[in-house]
Amino acid sequence: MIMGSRLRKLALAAHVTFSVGWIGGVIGYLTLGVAAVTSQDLQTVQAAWVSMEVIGWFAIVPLALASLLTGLVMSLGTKWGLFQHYWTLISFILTVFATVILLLHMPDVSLLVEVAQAADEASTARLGGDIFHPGLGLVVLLVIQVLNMYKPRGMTPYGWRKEQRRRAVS
Amino acid sequence: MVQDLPYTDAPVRYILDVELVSINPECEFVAMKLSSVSLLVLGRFDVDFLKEDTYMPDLPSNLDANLDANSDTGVKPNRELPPGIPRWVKVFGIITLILILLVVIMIIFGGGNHGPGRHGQPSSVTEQSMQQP
Repeated sequence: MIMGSRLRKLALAAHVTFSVGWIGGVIGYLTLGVAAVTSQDLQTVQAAWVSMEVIGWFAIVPLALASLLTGLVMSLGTKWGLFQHYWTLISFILTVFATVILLLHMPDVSLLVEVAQAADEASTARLGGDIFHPGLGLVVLLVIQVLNMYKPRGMTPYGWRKEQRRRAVS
Repeated sequence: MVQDLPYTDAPVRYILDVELVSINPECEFVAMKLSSVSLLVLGRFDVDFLKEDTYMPDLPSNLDANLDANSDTGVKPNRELPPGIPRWVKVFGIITLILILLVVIMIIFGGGNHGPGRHGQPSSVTEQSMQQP
């Protein structure tokens, strides 16, 4: 079902808001992850890990799910479709990938918060942080953003066949 | 009225009131079709003059569909074969494969340690802490 102009703009505004919010949340998480790695102060490291858990579960995860959902609405509710153009297909795959990795990663973060809270001054320096996952996630999200902005050309064979059928009917 | 559909940085399609005006960047030709009177213009030229402020960024164009062409010109539409995979998709796929390989190598040579708290430090206290009852 193709959305009308007003509904499409509303869905687009929601999708952009959730997606950009997701990127912002990851940047905040990454900042705390760097602080957890570089700081020698126990309280700073513990606070960073607790904050990372809160941001992860209550900001990044909801924003990721909302972004995925509104992205599906935008693709299926417009003529772009989900599988008809390479850029929509790749964006969808990357979004699902990032969301799945996030959902698999967050329980480990919660576990690490408990470890950090039980750590003493001597073990603080070896506690480590969380840079790899949010860093990779940020790269993936930026790639998705670029794809969505530039919409590089390229129709999938499925999209091409669908277009041919549509033209044959009209 | 002329409407500019998404791919504005590489102008490929414009719509007049009644029919499509398209440019296929690979074949470098422009096809114009106005109602029942068809006109095909071959060759390169700048189509910026067709643009107006009616940009519709969220609608797809039929960029990859083959153009309708007048049979008098000898240019026949190729409707039999689907378009090939674009170059950017191939490059993107190669880069993705390389990154996946790098991550796998990192995991293998990292001893399988992969979770948070295991990055950024040569050794981690987390394993010791987790093993404690």
